[in-house]
Amino acid sequence: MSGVLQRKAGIPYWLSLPGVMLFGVMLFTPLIMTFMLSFYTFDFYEGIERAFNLGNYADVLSDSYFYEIFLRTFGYGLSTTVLAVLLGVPEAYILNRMHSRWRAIFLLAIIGPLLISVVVRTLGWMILLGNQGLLNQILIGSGLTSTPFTFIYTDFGVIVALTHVLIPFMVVSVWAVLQRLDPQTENAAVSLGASQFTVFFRVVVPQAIPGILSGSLIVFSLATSAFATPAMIGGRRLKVASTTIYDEFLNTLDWPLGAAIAMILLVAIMTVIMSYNRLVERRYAQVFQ
Amino acid sequence: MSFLNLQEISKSFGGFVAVDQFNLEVDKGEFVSLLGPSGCGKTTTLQMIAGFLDPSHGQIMVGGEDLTARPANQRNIGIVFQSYALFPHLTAAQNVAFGLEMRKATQGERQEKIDRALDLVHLSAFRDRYPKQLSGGQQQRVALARAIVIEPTILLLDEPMSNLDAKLREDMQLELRSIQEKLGITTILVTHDQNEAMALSDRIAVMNEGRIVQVGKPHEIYEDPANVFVSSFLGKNNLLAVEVEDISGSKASVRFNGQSLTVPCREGVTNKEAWLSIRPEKVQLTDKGSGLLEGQIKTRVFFGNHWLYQIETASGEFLVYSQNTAVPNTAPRDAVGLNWQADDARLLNMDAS
Ligand SMILES: Nc1ncnc2c1ncn2[C@@H]1O[C@H](COP(=O)(O)OP(=O)(O)OP(=O)(O)O)[C@@H](O)[C@H]1O
Ligand SMILES: [Mg+2]
Repeated sequence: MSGVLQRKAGIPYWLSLPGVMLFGVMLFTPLIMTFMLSFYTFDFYEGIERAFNLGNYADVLSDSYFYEIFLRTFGYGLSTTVLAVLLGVPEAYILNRMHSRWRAIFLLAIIGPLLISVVVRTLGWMILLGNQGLLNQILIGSGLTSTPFTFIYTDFGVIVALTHVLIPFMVVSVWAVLQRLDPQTENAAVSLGASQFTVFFRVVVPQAIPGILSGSLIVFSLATSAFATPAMIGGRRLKVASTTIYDEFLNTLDWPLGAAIAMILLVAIMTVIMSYNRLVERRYAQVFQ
Repeated sequence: MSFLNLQEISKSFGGFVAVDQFNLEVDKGEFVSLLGPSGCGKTTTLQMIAGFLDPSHGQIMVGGEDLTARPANQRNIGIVFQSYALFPHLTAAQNVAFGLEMRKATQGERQEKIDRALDLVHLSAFRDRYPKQLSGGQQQRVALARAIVIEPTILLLDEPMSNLDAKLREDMQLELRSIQEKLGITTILVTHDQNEAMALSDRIAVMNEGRIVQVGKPHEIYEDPANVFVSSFLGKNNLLAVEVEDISGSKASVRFNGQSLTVPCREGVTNKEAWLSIRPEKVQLTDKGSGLLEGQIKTRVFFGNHWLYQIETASGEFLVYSQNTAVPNTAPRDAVGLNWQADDARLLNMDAS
């Protein structure tokens, strides 16, 4: 009897084996290899040599050049997340209150861009907002300014483009939560004398916290690890961690240093995400049950 | 002048008329139930009073003031929703506090009122629990405390008991009634449970298909239903097809089964053919051959305080309730007579109006 039970208890593990293998091969192997690579040494004449050496980490952590890059990376991540919350949460709320026919159209408009390559979308921004772009042509043509408004190669430009690229993740995860709320709680608040504004901030947002949390985690991690948008709009001057890693691997050919930066980026993102998750879940314990 | 006055309010959704020329006057402190089958427009009516829906026509007057165009958050009306709609991220006390905060009550005043409201619903010990940590009955009482703490002019209850089990529902009904009487608050309850409506209300408004069919005190409409719909909705009744011979004033002489009977009759019965309605508890079983109708017992069911008989007669099946005073000497398949006082029967039109 207990033998049968035990054999049965093993089945779920066997069933999850293919998934585990897929993750093992596709995720953990490259990750472990990158981790090992980060300890190797690199020399312009000798190339890469196997070693166990913390020199790459020491190089990164002692150079203010890299600090600036990491600071910029996380600055972009934070600003993008904040903007995505500020714009995405009301957007999700409005979407949720729409008539179902309109909702389908707007949902398509929100999610649709996800079907288009990030590169194409970023190019779109460049066409629209470049120095010779449509917006500047209108601004200059109408005589509002004489010098073009610079958007390309600025922090502001990168953040706007990242927000545009990533906001669907926020909208969709908040919307998923809003759909499950009892719409009567809003009516209850109104009957108790609350304005629409109060209802939104005191009744809707607190209940939407789980969606805001998961949305911010996705947006933050994608923003800090984004490559195409900062590479195209930030350009050579506004380097972020991922473009730096790219340069180390493909231009300088210093793979070990690139690997070390990648590992530091990974650990930093994980630390931020996990502490944020803990913080929010503890503060809003009630809505997570 | 009544306190709450619903004047000819109607609501249509697209072409569909959900509430049709609804008139109701409610006195201050009165407890009125809207009773009717599912989809008859009870919730829609309540939502118009609350201000969540705009009436297509008509006016809502409270204390002589026209509330029709006033936004829902300025009406000072307390509502208990069917789902309770508590704020899940706030404790019981914080839920109750919400309306007071909206009214900018001082901290001291707020505490005092919260304490009093939670005390009234016997939840003082649970003030720091979150809704998910409370049972259905406790959640419902938090919802009630939240609605009454703002001292609303009117309390609206939309099927507040429908999620509770039978025993708890009875307790809550008694408690609700005593709280309502203590506070003297004008209350409108929506329900499709006729027992709940009868147990709680000063008056009942029976609705069907968006219209009020009859308004009156519970026993009035039970004893003197306006039509067959009300009669069947407010409990069981036996319908006997009769031939109307003569109507004079509030009495009619009817004929069935070769015998004549003089029974009370409402205005409006005009047809030759009508229903004679008799409540099951008003029918007595007698010896064979000595009643107004003859029949045979089909089934007999014990309900604790009464027995229910299903009796097969030439004019259809009859239901009879008889008090459980002694073990009955009748058994299924016995032939029996059915008898009732002529004054206990009611003559009703065959069509529902
Ligand atoms: N927003 C709406 N759009 C269209 N029809 C509606 C809408 N709200 C309600 N109705 C219709 O109006 C009628 C009355 O609805 P209402 O919710 O008032 O019924 P009810 O008496 O409360 O029923 P129940 O006992 O099932 O709660 C129903 O036929 C319903 O389908
Ligand atoms: Mg309803």
